[in-house]
Amino acid sequence: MHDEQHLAKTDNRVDAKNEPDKITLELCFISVISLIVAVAFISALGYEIVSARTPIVIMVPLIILIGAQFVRAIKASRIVDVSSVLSTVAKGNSKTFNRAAGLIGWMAFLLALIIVAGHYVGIAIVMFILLRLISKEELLFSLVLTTGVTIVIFVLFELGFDIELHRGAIFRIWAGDAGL
Amino acid sequence: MIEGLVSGFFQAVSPDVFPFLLVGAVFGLLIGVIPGLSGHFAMAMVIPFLYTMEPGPGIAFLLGAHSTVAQGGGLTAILFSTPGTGQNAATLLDGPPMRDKGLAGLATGAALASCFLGALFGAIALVLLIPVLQQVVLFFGPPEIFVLAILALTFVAVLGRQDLTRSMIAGLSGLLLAMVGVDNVTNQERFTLGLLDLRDGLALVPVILGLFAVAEIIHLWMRGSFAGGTATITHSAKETQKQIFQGIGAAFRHWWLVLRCSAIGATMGLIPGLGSAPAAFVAYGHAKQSSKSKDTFGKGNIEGVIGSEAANDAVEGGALASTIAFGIPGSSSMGILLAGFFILGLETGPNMITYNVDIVFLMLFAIVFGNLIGTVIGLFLVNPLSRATGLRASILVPVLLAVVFTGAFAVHRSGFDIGVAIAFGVLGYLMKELGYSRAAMLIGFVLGSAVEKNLYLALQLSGPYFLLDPIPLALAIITLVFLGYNVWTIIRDKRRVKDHA
Repeated sequence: MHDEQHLAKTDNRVDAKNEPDKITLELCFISVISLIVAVAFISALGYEIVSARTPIVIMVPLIILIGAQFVRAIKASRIVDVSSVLSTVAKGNSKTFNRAAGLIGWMAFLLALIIVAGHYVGIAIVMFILLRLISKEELLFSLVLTTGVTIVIFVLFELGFDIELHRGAIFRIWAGDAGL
Repeated sequence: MIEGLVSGFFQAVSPDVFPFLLVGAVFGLLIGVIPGLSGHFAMAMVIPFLYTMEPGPGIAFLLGAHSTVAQGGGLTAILFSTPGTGQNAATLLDGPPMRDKGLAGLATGAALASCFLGALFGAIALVLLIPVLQQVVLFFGPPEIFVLAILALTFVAVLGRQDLTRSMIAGLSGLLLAMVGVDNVTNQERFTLGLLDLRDGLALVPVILGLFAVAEIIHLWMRGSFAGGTATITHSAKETQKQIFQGIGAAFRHWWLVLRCSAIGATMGLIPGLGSAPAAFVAYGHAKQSSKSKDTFGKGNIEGVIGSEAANDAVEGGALASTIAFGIPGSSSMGILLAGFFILGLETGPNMITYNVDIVFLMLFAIVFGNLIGTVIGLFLVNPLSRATGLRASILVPVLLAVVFTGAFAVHRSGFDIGVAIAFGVLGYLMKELGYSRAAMLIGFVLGSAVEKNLYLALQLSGPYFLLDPIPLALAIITLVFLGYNVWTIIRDKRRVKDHA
């Protein structure tokens, strides 16, 4: 079984060599993680010794491993490929990146809508947009599914589990409660 | 112990608990048949509801959902050549060839029954382990638990399917994430960025929902089109049902194979990090090796389906043992389960296994009954359930997004938690794409506070030389030898590849 695992690991590396997109993504990922860990490490140096002890004990090997992985990713990459992938993304020509970023953008929009307009309004609007405008589902189907899911969530959370979902900043300000 | 067993049984069948078990089991089965949505997704979705529940119904709900996911995944592996969950991958070897021979019902019946029998075996194994564990846990104080947690995390990182360095990075990052918030000993704020919402640390639910639900949603969205395969069952519902009953009969006729493969599963479940998928493959290998008709394996041999499905459910009994006895989860699903216990106010370790043994038995009965429910539903609903795989990602994603965001918000009524779920969703998706172990990160995150607390107590009780006590020393040596051996084998394999090149 170990041999199989190591074979799979070796295969992964071979595959990775053929995928400039993934290598570039990993380089970016590792860079962001190392930046966060570096900031965390510097912050931890300012804490009281008892509070800093465990995070530092964790971060020392973590930094070494991140460094090792960064070197591996660099070795597996070619600068030409990486810069080509990055420029494709920057120009907005990467379909994969655009699709993922689009969904994450809709998620952020949903969060903003929930805070401002309330939970039910937020999920209903974003669901309808994703179903009808993005995925081009039929109008009636999109309306029925959106309404159905919103009602089910209301019944399940508010009536079933007695959890009051957020009514939205507009409603709360209107009702005299300035809190979000 | 008998008293605990009886109490656990009556709790499981009581009107307060059983409906939650039923709902959880149906939900798990439904999630299981949708390829791309793992068992972790089902468990993550259940977690937000636990805040409003008593321990009994909460355990039943959580374990009900967990126990039937593999059954649902087995159905899709056979019917659509697409395993609903990773643990059903071994079923792909003989399930689809049986379907192609017109024996889809026979294979699904055998798979459903084997799952149930495997779970039953795992539960019995856990019952037998309880008296032993009750004695063993008494030797485990803070120094031992601290080193054991490190050992478990190392096992998860090394034995997982992902690359060792990436898994170690994920595990250590999980531990670090658990340090966010106010330190209970010194009242020092750590890594909070001055945000009030982070003073209590990162909440478990949005982190779990992000890593395992939002990440899967993004993955589903990126994959697009249908969630599952496009194959259809050629038989009528009546004919399929008839075959299913024959399949169940076949599983019982192969009871000795079920027993052996379940034993493999339960034993491998005890080892942190191995999980169900390797157990299913080892059991499949054993079934093939011990079969009189080895040549037909891979071409539609029912023994292949029975062996792998029995093992992947028997794993749970073993995995549950280390989780409840030491509070050390060995897999991501056990990590989510442990998080669920925290939310329900249950303390794992000596207290649970000694004084709350009825809760342990409730868990066992929840797993057994959950599997039984899954089998019964599967008996009659294979055809309609299989249609769930035809759901398009474009329909599933908006619905799941609405439900997941509601779950993330509901726990603390906080929009901040939705933001955390989104952030961890992106992180989880990237980790999935790049081969970083999400299981290691979750286990690191769940264990983080226990690791720090036990390290602090160990240093207070025994000083810096606590590592030289017999049990911590033995565990530390095992960790180092295990890690060293694996690093050595990787270097050796690299050299071999170089030499061949």
